[in-house]
Amino acid sequence: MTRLLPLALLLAACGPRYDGINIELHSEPPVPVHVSDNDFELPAGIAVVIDVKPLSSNQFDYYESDQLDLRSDNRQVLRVEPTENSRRFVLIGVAPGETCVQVEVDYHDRGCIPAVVTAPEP
Amino acid sequence: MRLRFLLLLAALPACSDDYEYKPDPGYGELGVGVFLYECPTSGDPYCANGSPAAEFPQAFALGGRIHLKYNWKDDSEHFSDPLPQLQSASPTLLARESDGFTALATGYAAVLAVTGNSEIVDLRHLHIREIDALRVSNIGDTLPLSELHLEAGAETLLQARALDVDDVTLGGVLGHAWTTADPDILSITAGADSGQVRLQGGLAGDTTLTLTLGELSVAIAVTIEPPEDGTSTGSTDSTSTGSTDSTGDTDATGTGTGTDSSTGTSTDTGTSTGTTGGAL
Repeated sequence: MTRLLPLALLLAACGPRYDGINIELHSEPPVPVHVSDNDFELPAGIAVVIDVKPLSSNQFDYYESDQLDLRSDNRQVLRVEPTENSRRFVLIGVAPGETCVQVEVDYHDRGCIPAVVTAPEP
Repeated sequence: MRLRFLLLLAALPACSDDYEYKPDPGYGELGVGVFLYECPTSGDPYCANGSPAAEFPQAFALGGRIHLKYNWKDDSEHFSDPLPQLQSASPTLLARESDGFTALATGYAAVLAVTGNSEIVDLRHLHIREIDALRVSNIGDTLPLSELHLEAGAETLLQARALDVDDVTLGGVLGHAWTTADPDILSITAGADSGQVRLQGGLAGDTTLTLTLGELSVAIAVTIEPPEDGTSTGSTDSTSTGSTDSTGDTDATGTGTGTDSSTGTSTDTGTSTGTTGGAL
């Protein structure tokens, strides 16, 4: 048993070390939106597609198969929905307000990204 | 530091004010399928009863009922996959109803194509705009009418169009109301509550046809002329005169030219005359 412990520690050390996420806008919404790694702002009614990539601070990158999830704290303000691509999500401005988008990587909470939904653009 | 600068540069196009929204015609913004605009009832200027529109409307009328359908772009990639359900991104802007959507507020409202796994496979934004003016024209024509000349017994078909402030014909089924001041001179034979009305000339004389939509209305001066041989044949022979359309809640008339860039297909300039043909 004691022999297995160093091996387990070694395997754990071979994985990626979480160092934030990179978020890029994938779709072209009809009105300006603000999407960054640190915050979101979009009008109600607008849906934008984002590509999310977990970053690693060591030499091991995250695989596509590594778990990644984004969840809105308030779906009445902002919805975050999955797509067929596990690294692609849709942010949906539902109604004006503020909320936060929880980030989960490899089943660990990695904080939340503040989001603002503004009034619809005329 | 360099990474942050690159990210800032990448974000700039999305923040630009001069960005123009021009999705690939017909396709969703993710390019997986096609959003089709359908007209389940007659009267929509964009498509005939029961068939999809040849082009997706540039904008939709506030208060309009909108019927959409989604098809896969490439069936072979989605063999045996059920078609996704369409959802509204914001129910306060675009309400989902059993037979489609209703535009409740102005702005852009995304329609989402969602699979049974709750995954979004495609989306498209609808631009909902306030109705600025009403226009009446001959079927297949975009030039506005202010006068209609019809032989006694003859029939004709007119089309209503709701326009936004930029003169764009708005999609969506609306609650039109057509009335004739003197039903003995001009009768409405079909479509009194539709965007498309069928009219028949009665006794010779002058009357007014009025189209009302909410607080907007437009009046058409109608002249029914006796048939040349003195009998009513039932054949169609109408002449209409181009004019301006309505704005606000007042009736507007004018003469001469009209320009309509609403459907993006053509621009008409001149006088609209001669709705003729056989039985409609």
